Amino acid sequence: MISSPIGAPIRKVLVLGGGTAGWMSAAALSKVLNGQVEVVLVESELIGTVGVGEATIPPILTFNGKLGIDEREFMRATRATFKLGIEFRDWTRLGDRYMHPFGSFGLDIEAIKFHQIWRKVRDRVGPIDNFNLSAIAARSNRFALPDPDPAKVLSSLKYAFHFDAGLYARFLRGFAEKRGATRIEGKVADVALRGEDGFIQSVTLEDGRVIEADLFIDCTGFRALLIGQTLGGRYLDWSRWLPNDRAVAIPCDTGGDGLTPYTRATADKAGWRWRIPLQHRTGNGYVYSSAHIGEDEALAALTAGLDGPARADPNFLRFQAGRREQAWIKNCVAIGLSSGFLEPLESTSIHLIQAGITKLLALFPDKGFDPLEIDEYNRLTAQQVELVRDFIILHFKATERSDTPYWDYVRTMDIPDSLARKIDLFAGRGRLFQSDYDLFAEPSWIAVMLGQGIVPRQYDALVDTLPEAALVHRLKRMSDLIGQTAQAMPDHAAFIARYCAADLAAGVSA
Amino acid sequence: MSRAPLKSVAVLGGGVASWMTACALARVLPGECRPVVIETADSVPRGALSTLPALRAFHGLLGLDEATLMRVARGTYKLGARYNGWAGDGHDHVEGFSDVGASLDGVAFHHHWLRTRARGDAGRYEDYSLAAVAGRLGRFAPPSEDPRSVLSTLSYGLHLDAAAYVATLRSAAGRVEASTGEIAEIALAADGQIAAVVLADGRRIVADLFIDATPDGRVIGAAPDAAWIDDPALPCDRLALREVAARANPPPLTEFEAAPEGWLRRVPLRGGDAVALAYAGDRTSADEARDILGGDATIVPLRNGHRRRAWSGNCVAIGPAASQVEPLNGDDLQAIQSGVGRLIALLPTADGSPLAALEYNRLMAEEQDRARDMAAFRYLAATRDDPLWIQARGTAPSPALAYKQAQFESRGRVVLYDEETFMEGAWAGAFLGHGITPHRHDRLADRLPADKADAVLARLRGMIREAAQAMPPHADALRDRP
Repeated sequence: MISSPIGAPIRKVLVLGGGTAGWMSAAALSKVLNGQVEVVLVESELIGTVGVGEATIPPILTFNGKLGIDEREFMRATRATFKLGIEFRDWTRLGDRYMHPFGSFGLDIEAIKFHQIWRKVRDRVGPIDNFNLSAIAARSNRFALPDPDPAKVLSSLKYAFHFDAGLYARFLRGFAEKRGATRIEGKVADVALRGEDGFIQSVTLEDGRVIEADLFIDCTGFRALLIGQTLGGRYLDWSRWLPNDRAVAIPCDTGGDGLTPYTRATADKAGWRWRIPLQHRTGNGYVYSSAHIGEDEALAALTAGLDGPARADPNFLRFQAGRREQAWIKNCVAIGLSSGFLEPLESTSIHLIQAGITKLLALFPDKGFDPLEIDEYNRLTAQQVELVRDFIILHFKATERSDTPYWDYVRTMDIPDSLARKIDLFAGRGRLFQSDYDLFAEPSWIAVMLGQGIVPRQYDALVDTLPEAALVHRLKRMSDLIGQTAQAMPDHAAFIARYCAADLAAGVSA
Repeated sequence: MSRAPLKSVAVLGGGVASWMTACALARVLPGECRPVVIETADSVPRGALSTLPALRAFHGLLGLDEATLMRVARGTYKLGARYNGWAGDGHDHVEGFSDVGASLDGVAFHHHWLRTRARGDAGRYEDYSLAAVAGRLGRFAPPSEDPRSVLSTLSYGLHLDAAAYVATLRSAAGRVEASTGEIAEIALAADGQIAAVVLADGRRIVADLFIDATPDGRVIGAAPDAAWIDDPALPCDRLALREVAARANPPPLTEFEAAPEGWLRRVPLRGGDAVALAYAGDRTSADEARDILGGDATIVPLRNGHRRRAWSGNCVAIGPAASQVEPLNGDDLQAIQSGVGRLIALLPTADGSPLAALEYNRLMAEEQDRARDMAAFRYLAATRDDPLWIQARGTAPSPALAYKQAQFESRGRVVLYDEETFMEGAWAGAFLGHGITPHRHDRLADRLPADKADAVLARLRGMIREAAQAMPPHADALRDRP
């Protein structure tokens, strides 16, 4: 029989794995497909979830919004705090720090980019952070919800969340089950393929149950049970650019700077450490290169930097930076870590899950599984992930650090041509040409380029067409307004206590 | 380390490309640097221009008053383009400059239209575009800024007389030094850079940066690695231009009619319609072309293709010197506008900027390829049996176009690459208009109950028709803006 491009509709989707990726997928599918498709999720309580990516970026608001999730309910349930950006410490050189805030810098004038204007008069108007409300509010530990009136400075605030990924999965599970998704407890013992075309026909659980489906979503994390082990999808290795291959994570009691409305990423001897404040604890981890330091040394460095007493035993993780060559093969789509891994330096793990789900919904197949739809999914995924990869490599490449062999390696390594071109163009005259596929918009590239010490040698010649004294005056007013707006915002911890305090006595363990 | 800024720029050639470039540069170059324009005899502008709405932003940056421009340059409004006879006799569609329908439940409108059409009567896709409907009715009104008004979905381009447009730019150029002259020789320095352009009257034009805005690229042609590459995807290599009497109420549309020899374009101007025939010189003689246009016509050459590098050393080619595509998308001046915009964004320093040139060439080549794909697509989708059309259909599409068309045919998905001139709505309109129908629509459209979707579509269609009928005739709109 010739396979027709017009197939029957998909009736059943099986999501394998119940971590963040699994439950985000099940929640979105059950909501958007609205009962047209049966959604079944298989997970085992015996298999732990990685739970990386407790920090998010602003598009998570779109995801929650599409699902119709109430923000306060969600924040209480996941013990969430607000996030206005990421503070980077010791990246360019020891003792240096900069903020990659959400939202944009200043306002363009006469169609001339703000960062070009700032570059010309920066000696007189101060650091570029002064022109980003999220950055200034973050520095003073303040938070308020953005004003819906676009005329107000407070409308420029952009935010995301820090949350407990395990609780987020649990929250989404409740959401998905309410909308008809079914959860099956069990471990997969075997996967059966269709003889004629090698598509996945069913999975068999250890207790002998056989579950068939039309479409399979592989959310089994690094194991990649379906896309890798069963279908043999190749993995493209990026470790020559991203040598970190281990992490150790420990939650600790809240302490130190307390509930900062930002994530902190501190560069260390052979990698970097994260600090993510939640309402009930602080998440910490050290992402490192096993070629450069050992497990014990990494653990010691992480422990020495904790804000308070550890609340659990260290959790060691192994990974390899890269992506699945094809995230969608036959009737199987890999979402989450099974589709690839990029270290959580820019909090992109959850976002890439979201991007995968969005694309799957946009290209939702029928039983004909048109290869064109699969090609398009894979093409878009590759483009998006490679742009994120370049953005992350930038943090390591653009450094002056030479204090350890690790930093010597990343500073001098070859980088992808796409990134080299971007750096050179920015270094010359602050030029950026945004790709439509990039998850990170211009302000993010500007923040990190400047933060990592790449200051354009020259500014756009167009800036000289604007009278200089008036520019300085205007920029000073902008930064004054932003400063005043930030000062009027409440303290972050106080805002959370009022807005979405979790019932910490409810006894969810770390 | 800071490099010296540009001290001198020379623009060679006197047509639209050269004056758009000179006007824009005059506004951004530092005070001591005045652009010099050398107007050559063969760059005299001819015929009419049919532009996209984006050109109006360029006018805004130059501070050009639109009402004055339209009066001086015989301007009329353009709400889109009409194509007829492409998919055989009787084929006729309009691609309008407005949203088509509205995205419903987060799913692009054309999926809902495909669904309703498969079940019964959905009308034509263009019936949901206010610009297309008003265009066909010969009516025009300016867009509304109120987002609740259906008029806010409109935008418009302009029809302009090329020679008068140049005259307007020239008078608005400000500090530009213009003179006439003929290029006699290009003197190269040892490193391949252009040392000077020698004119027939003996003048030696020396500059840090040379802009080649000649019709044939004779300046950039002397630079290394800037050879011309022909594009075989498009079959015509001549344009015959003529003007005919105006109609009483010309539609605010550029009209493209397929003909056995190629295609005919009609652009309404104040006081006359500019018509052009695009044809292939080896199949049709100049006399035959004149006969088709019904009288004396000016014949100008057309060479589909592009420079290997539009920016080489200290020379940047802009306009026909850099790239040429048969003007059948109604996107005249778009390549010039974006070339000038990118040149300014990447403005070189006096000692040259190899990196900037590299990026410029990459971006312009991509944009050129995508716009060429749109033109090539119109030939590929055509069903005519004349030899020229059969030849054009026999040329393989670029892989990017083949992929884009296959994706649309599969389920109406519009693939957009970086540097597209035409966005999702424009591509969907062209695909559907030329008769490419997706095998099926996006499943997500089915979440809307079918009877409800049908009702929404019927209401939209009625609303758009009413709004179009309430607009004044195009001729009246022009009279109100004297």
